[in-house]
Amino acid sequence: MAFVETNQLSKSFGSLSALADCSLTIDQGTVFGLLGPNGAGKSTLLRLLMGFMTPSSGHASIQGFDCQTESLQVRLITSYLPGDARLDRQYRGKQVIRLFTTLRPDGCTDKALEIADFLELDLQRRVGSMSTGMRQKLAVTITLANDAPLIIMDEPTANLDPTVRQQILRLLRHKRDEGKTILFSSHVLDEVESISDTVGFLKQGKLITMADLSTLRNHHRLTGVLDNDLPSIPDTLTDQLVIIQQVENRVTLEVQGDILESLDWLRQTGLSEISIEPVRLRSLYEAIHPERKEFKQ
Amino acid sequence: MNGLLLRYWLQGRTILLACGLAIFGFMMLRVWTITLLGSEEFREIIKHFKDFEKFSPVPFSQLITYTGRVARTFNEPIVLFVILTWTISRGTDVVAGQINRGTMEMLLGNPVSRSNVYWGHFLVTTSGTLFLSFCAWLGMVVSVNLNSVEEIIQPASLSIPFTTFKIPLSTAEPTILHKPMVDYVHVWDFLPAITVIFAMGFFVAGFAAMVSSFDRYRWRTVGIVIGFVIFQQSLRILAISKPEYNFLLNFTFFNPFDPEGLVNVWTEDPEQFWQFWQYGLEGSIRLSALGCHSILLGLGLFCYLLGHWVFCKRDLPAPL
Repeated sequence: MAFVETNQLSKSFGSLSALADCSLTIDQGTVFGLLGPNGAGKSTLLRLLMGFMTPSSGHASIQGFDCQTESLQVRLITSYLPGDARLDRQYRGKQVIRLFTTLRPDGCTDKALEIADFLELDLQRRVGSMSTGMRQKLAVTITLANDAPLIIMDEPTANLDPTVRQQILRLLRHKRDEGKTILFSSHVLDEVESISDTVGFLKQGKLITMADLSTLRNHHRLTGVLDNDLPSIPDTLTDQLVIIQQVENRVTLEVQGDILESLDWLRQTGLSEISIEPVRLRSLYEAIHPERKEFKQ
Repeated sequence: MNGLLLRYWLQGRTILLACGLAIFGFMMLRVWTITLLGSEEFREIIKHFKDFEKFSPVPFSQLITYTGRVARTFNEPIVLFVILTWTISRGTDVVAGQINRGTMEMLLGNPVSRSNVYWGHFLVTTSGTLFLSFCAWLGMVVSVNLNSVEEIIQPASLSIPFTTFKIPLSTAEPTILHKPMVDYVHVWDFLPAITVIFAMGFFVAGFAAMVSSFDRYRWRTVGIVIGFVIFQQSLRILAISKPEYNFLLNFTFFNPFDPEGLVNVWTEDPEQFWQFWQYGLEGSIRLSALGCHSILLGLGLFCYLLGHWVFCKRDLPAPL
C-alpha cells in the first residue's frame, strides 16, 4: 500500500482552481520532490494533505488515514514545515524549541538542540530579532526534531544561503537513510535532483507528470550535425532512441539506457560534431514550463 | 494540552499582570476617594441630582450608603476598560490572531487538534478573567481594611414638626469620629459584583472568540468587537434615557451587567437574589442574580460553541 496517496484531489477557491484532479502515490522510505512555478498548487497540495483545508473533491490519505477526517492521526505521523514558517516573535529560540517539542509525543528537545548546533543557530536570540534565514533554520530544526515517519516540507531551503542549504540537504539525506518518507517542494532543481527518488511536476494546479529520477539518470541527450536525412531508427533501438528535434542539419535525440548501442548506429548514419549530455531535471522542467517571453523595454 | 496552555499563558501573562495591577490599584484608589466625602455630605450633593436617579441602577437611598458607594466602583469605566482589554485582546487572538501572525499553521502542523487549540485558549482567557475579577475585589478589600471614615455627630437639637427647622439644644461643636471603613462595609457583600464582572468578561471573550473564528485579520476582529461593545453601550444609554425606548434594554448585554443592582438586592432582599427576576416596590421588574449570570454566561458559552464549530469546519488560509 502506498504511504501517501491522493486520488483526483481538487481544491477550488471560487472560480480559481488551485489544484485539479491530482492523483499520486508515494511509497514508504522514498523522497518525493514537488516542482512547479509559483501558483502551480504545490503548497495547496501539501496543505490539503495536512488537513488544513477541505478538498473540493477527491481524497487523500497518509498511511491509510484520511487526511480530512483523521487529520490528527495524520499529523501524529507527519512532521510539517510550512512554506512561510512563522514563530512567536517574543520567545527565544530555545523556548520555541521547548514549546514545540512538548506538542509531539515523539518530540525530542536534545535532538532539536543537536540540529540547531549543526546549523549554527543562536538559540539565545529572540525570534523577533532573528533574520529571515535564522527563523527558517529554527523552523527546520523544529520540524526535524522528532521521529515522525513522514516529513512534509514546503520549500525548506527558501531564504537560506548555499552553505545552509547543503546542511539541510544533508539532514534530509540522513532522514532518508533512517527510512523516513520525505515529501518536499522546491524551486531549486539541483537540490530536488540530488535527493529525490521521484519528482512530480505541477502546472496551473495540475500534476503534469511524474518522473523516476533513477531512470532519468540513464537518459542522455545527443546532438549532432547530419548532412543527409536521418534514416529510420532500426527496430532494435526504437525503445531507447527518440528524435526530439531536427532543425536544418542539426539533430537532437534522446537516448534511454545503454548509450553505446545507439552510438554504433548513429556513427553509421554519418552524424558528426556529436555532443552528449545527461538529461537532467532542468530539461524536463523546461519542456513542461517553457521559458517565458523576453521582457521588452 | 499542557504545552498549549503554557504557550497561551506565556503569550498573555504580560497583559494579564498589567491589567491585574491596574484594576487592583484603581479599586484601592477609588475606594479611598469614598472616604474623602462623608455620607451626610454625599447625601447633600446627590439630592441635587434627583432628576437623574433614573440613570442609576440602584435607588439613591442605597447609593448614599458606604456599601452602595463601594458597589458603584465596580461599575466604573476603568474597571470595564480593563476587563474589556483583556477579554478582547485574548478572545480575538484565538483564531484570527494566530492566523494573522502566521503561527497557526506551524502550530497545527503538530498533532494538536483544533479543539485543543480553541479550548486551551478558552481556559487561559477564562482563568485570566477570573483573576482580574478577583484583583478588583482584592483591591477593594485592601482599601476597605486600610481606610477609615469620618462620622460627624451633631449636638442634640429639636426638630420643629412639619418644618425643616431644627433648634440646637447645645452650643457644642459637632463631634468627629474616625471609624474603620470595615465597620460600615462588609467585603463579602460585593461577591455578586465580582461574579457579574466575570460573567460579562466571559461573554465578551466568547463573542470575540466567535468573531475571531470567522476571520483571518486580527485588526478587523478587534474593530468588529469594539464596535459591538460601543453599539451595546449606546443601546443602554438610549434605553434608559426615555421610557419609550426602555425595550432596548432587552438587546444589550450591559443590562444584565449590573454589579450595583446585584449588591443592592443581595444586601436588601436576599430572597430575591437567587431568582431570575426581582420585583421592585413600584411593580418594576428587573433581572436578578440568576437572570444576569445565566444570560451572560449562557450567551458567552453559545458564542464559544459556535466559534468552535466554525473553527473546526473552516479552511485555514496560508499566512499573509
